Amino acid sequence: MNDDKRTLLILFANGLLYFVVNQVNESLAPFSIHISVEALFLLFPFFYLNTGQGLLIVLITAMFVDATLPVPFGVHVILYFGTFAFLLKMRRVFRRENPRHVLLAALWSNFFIMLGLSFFTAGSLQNLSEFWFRFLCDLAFSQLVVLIVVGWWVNLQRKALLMWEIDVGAELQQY
Amino acid sequence: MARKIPHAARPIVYLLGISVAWLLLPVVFKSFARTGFYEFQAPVWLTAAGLKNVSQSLGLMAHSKEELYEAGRDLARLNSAYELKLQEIDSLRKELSRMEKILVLPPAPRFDYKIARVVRRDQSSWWQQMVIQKGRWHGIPEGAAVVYSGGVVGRVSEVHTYTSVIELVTSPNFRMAAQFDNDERPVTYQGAVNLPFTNPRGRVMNVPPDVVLTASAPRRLASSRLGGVFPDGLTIGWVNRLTTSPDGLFQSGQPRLNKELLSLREVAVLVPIKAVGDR
Repeated sequence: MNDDKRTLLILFANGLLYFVVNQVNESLAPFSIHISVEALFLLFPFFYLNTGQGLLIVLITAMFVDATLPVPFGVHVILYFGTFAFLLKMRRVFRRENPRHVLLAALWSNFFIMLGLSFFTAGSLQNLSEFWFRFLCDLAFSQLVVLIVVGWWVNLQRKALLMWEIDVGAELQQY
Repeated sequence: MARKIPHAARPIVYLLGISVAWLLLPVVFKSFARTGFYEFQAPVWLTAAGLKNVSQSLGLMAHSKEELYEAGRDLARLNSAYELKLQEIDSLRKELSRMEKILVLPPAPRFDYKIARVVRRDQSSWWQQMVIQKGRWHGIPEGAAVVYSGGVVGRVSEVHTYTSVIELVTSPNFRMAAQFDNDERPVTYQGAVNLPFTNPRGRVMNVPPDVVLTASAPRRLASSRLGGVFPDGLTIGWVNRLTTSPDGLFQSGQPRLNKELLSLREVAVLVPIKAVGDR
């Protein structure tokens, strides 16, 4: 029962983040800046949930994001799973108790997802220097936002689970 | 006896397993899942857009009565000017159909304008699109032209039940037939990557070598009906410089588009008259 609750809650949190980031991007659109903080969808499932639950949340979130974008359905599924697989491989290196590790995991994952998306979707644009300049600007702004919000975001999800009397911090991670 | 997968290899096995499973999934399932997830979140975007409209209306309520009287007076003057224009257009239309009959020409395409509010924008380096709050239910067809008071906005790329997705004219994947003012020869327009803090721009290609432009006298690039989507004469942008290709056969340039394109609140979808009422 607790597993269902936490899955639903984290999915809801991811949906909320997606919505808020979209509103921010709408406000930034006149300046031709786009922020992408998709790594934040993966962090909590990676640090605080077991692998099965994490994969389920990643799958649903990826399909949720993919549905509205002009990319082949499944691009985000593959990208998120790729990033999540790497994080799982690094589970012994990245410790959730250490804020620097959480930050490093977030920044690395965000970079990987944005770069992967560029290779998947840009096609012939990859040959243009303007495309990579715009990509670097978007990446810089996105990483800055990740840097600022990552600690708050992970704690917010932990607190939300605590309100439902689920103390994920105290539970032992299976792996 | 089955061998257990070593811990270190598990993530890679998961990734490969899921990727292969995803590739093997039937297209019907993927299409169904995509539509389901899209329609599931559409009400959220519509509600957010509705709330924005309410907050704007509340903001307008703060205006004084004098300001409203003045706005009403200005609108009445504009309406009279438009009434006169409509009469002029009516007589021009009659003349056009008379000429079409005399010269046995195919009739020029006519459109019904469907006004729709923008509910969402996705304008990144990867794609440039927006979602409007009218869809299949309102008779929006896929591929229709989308315009605003300043000219071309884009083309309808996807139609859902209550919403439609517009590929913007600024998108690098957007192409259309175009022409310069007072020159009916067709050229090709394509969107381009928009750099931060600059006006949106595109690319114009296949321009004949005798077209001369100067920075002091930029020329308007407008839509051409040769592409079959847009009517003639809708503004795309302004070009003030052309460069000749190495073979000397054609020129190309970078039209500057209107900055309003990045913050539009309302657009009009041009539905070809024959498609009206298809629902």
